[in-house]
Amino acid sequence: MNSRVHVEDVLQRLGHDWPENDSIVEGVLRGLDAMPVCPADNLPRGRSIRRVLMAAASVALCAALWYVSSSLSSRSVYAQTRDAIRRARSFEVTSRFFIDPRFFADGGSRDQLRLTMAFERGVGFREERPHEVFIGNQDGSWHYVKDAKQAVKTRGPSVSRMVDRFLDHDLAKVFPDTGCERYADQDQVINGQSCEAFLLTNAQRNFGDFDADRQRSIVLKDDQSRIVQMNVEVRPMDQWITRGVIEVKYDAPLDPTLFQSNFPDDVRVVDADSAFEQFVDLDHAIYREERSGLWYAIHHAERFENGCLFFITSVRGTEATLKEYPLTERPLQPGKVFIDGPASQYPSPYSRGVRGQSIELAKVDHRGINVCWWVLIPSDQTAQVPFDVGNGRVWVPASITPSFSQYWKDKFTDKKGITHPLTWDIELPLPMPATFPSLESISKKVYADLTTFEGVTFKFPNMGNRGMTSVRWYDMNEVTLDQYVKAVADDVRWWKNGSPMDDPRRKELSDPRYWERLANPARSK
Amino acid sequence: MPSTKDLVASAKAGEKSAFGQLVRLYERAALIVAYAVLRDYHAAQDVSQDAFLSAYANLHQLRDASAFGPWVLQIVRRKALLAKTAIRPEPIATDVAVPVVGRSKDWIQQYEDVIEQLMRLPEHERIVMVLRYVDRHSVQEIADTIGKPTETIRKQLFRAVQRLRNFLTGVLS
Repeated sequence: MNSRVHVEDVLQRLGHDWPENDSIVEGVLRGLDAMPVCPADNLPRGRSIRRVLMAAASVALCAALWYVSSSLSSRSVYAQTRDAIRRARSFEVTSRFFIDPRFFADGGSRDQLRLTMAFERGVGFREERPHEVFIGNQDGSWHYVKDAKQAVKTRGPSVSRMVDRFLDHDLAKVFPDTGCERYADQDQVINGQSCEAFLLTNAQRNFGDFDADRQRSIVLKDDQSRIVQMNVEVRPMDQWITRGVIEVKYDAPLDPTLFQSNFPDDVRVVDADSAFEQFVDLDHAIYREERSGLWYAIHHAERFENGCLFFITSVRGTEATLKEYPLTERPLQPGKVFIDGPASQYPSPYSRGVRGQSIELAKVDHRGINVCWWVLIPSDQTAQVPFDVGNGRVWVPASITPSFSQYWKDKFTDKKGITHPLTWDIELPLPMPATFPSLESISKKVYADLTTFEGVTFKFPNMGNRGMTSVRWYDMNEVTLDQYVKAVADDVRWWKNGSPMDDPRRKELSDPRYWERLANPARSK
Repeated sequence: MPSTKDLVASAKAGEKSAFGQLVRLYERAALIVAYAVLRDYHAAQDVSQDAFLSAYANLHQLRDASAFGPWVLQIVRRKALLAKTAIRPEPIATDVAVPVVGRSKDWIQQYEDVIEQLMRLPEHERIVMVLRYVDRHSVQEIADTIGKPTETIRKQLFRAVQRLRNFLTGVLS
């Protein structure tokens, strides 16, 4: 051990002798499944801390200003408005926003954008926008897209969730949270009531084309301290002009037909739930199994070319599980409320890649049910029946993974706080067909399945290679059949090569722009 | 093969499999670092796994994505030291048979001297040595990872091998 060559040789032998099957990758990935998506914020720590300190200082300053200058309570104006709306038996909010104030500053056009929202406790909810309408009542909810002449009906989200979404998402935007002072000059009488005016000053997030000192809002409160009107003003030149007016009426009688699903005759109403529920009906599944309070079902299984298998599987909570852990609604944006079920599926290439490689082709989440279309590609591509286990049965690597729900936290979290996915093997009878379908016909079938679920919001074809790019799941509306078939062929060929690293086109495929071009040629131009 | 920087960017964007590739790139170096502290192969595996999970959770704090390797090795070393202090030997009752000490895998035991001396190297030399010889990264890759010229890496490797040779000679003598 006294020469350089010998030292280097020993070290290289250490690396060489390392057992190939002793990797910790799988364990780490299992641990990652229990963790949220990595935060994208890549601010250096110092800057983050400075920002936090600045934000804290701003909050403290605003709180002080608020206390000194305002006769309102310490809560924000928005919170007061929200509470007042929440307490009311019914309310109607009308928002009018003028397209460009410079048009009418000199007496020009007064084009405006009008949004109305009405709610009556126990009856329903209606939000009307220029191009779409959301209606909720005891029978369900509708999303009517005027240009498409189509209304999609589902059983959820609930009316209260629709109201929450409006209050938290839409209304919150127009309320700045700092700088409030009494503005007696603007006191008005509205609907026979004397209203006090308050001036709110700060940059408003939705009017980003004007500097902070060129924006303000005047809020008018009635004698019950409820906001009845809010004028959003901007100052493009020297004078303040009104850019938007929001009016709120409380406990006013509302027309009950507002909350009914009455659409013009030429509008097609699609029931998003019925086709989906029929597709994933447990009674018609070819295999189902209850495991740890969850139903895992195989709805379709098929052999296709080169010894590959194709599956459609679903996972959902059992009745008892859903009773103890009801589905939760997560509002994302107008028209999109994600309903979190207890679990989803994750046929990971790392976790089960012993005999073959599983590849997700598409997934759908609807009302707490996760459905996955996936294929199993053999590692040994020369084998005739690589997944057969005898007696006409095939091996199915089943997997269920947490969906960050309370159910998993309670049932599948170990002492270290790590939640673990469920993986197990199923032996499924699967007769040999006379002819084997091609991968192309399989991908076309998946595409057709997805288009069947009209009105289901969260359905995603897999358009990317998961190992190389973050561009992967696409909105179904942006993908054509040809694009999808090509993407599936690319993806499967990629994994069949054994390792993504061996793919000669990896440089091209690792470029997110490739997938963007593939999914949306028009936009990439 | 995508660069460490690209993989870190993908992992930050939520691609857990990209992080899996990062683990594959640096797991041996991590295990060597942990093993050098703990002298228990399985404990080193546990600590390394824990360190990678911790790295993932704190990935947003990594300023220079290409420096993922050295960064994660520092986490591994810190966690290994913590684990070592946390593991205190249980008092052994006199009437109970003492278990066989050491659960190390056989193959790694033959390298214990080298690993021990490897850990005596200055940190920057230790990292380049492990990346070069155990994880089998090229000098260019290490230079990209560390953010230093290839010539600097070569010099560090040269000095580190020389130093290690002296250490080992001393041990053997």
